[in-house]
Amino acid sequence: MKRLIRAAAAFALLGAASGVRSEESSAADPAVEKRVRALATELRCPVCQNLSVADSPSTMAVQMRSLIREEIEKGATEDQVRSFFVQKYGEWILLAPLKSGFNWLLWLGGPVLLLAGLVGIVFWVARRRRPIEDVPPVSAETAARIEKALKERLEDGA
Amino acid sequence: MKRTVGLALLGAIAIAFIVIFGHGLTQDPRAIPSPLVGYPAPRFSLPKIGGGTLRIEDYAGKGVVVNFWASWCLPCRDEARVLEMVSRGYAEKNVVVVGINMQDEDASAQKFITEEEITFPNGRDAEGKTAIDFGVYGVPETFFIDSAGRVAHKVVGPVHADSIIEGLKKIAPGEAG
Repeated sequence: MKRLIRAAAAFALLGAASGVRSEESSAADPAVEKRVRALATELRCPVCQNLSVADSPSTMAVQMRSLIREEIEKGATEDQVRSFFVQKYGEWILLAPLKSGFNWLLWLGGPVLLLAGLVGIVFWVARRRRPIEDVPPVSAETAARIEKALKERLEDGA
Repeated sequence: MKRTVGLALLGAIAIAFIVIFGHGLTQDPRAIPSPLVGYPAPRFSLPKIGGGTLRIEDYAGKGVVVNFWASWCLPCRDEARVLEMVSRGYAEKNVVVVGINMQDEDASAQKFITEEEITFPNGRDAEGKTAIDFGVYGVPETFFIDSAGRVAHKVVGPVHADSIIEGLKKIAPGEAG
């Protein structure tokens, strides 16, 4: 009997869980769901830390996904939905900043600095490996002075 | 010489980055100015708790304080008394307070209103559409809408005497205080 009750409880829980899922994807058109998911992935969940609207289980995110679905079903384009959220929350709502104006500094700053660093390393390594023949020849007078100095040092040491 | 110039340039870039990111770290990530401030307030029509419909159009020509709240939110309970005082004290000054209950259940919302003895009108935003339309991050949030229907000010978190007066000054100049 106990086993039966447990099984019934598990079944009820499963039903409740699937009910939550079906609330989100009621009469789900896979093409629409794919677009909703893609857009929700681009948006920051306002009540979470660093989670997208697609990944957050919060009520706010669920409501935002419903709104995106509704707008797409009404025929809105991705740009229109994106603009709607930017108009309400500012550019902050976008997980990736727009590719315009000052934002280009963010998009290009990293790669440019990385490239500059790589170029710097290449030059540095090339300089260290420069062959000895590149060293300008020493004049006979300098060579004689070096030889004399060396000889003196050797004699002092001995 | 070339080397010194190069090092100076690198140093300047590094300092610029440290200053920019250091400044970023001192900012409150939630204190993001609302893009709605200065623009017409979103229109809404919601079922009123207790019956009827709550429409922003019904308050055209008045200053409106729109407060988003939920019964499970403790700071909302803290600010309820301040909002009620404003609602009563400013009724003659052409300012109304309206509440919008979100992310909540009917019975809990009704219980909250009774417990806190709230007399100003409250609407139920069950689907969260009005909250999203106002760009709400969480509860509580309060918007101050001037008599021309523009969002004049926004307070994130519970309103206190000082912050509510700051908002009221923007929608009822000369009356706040």
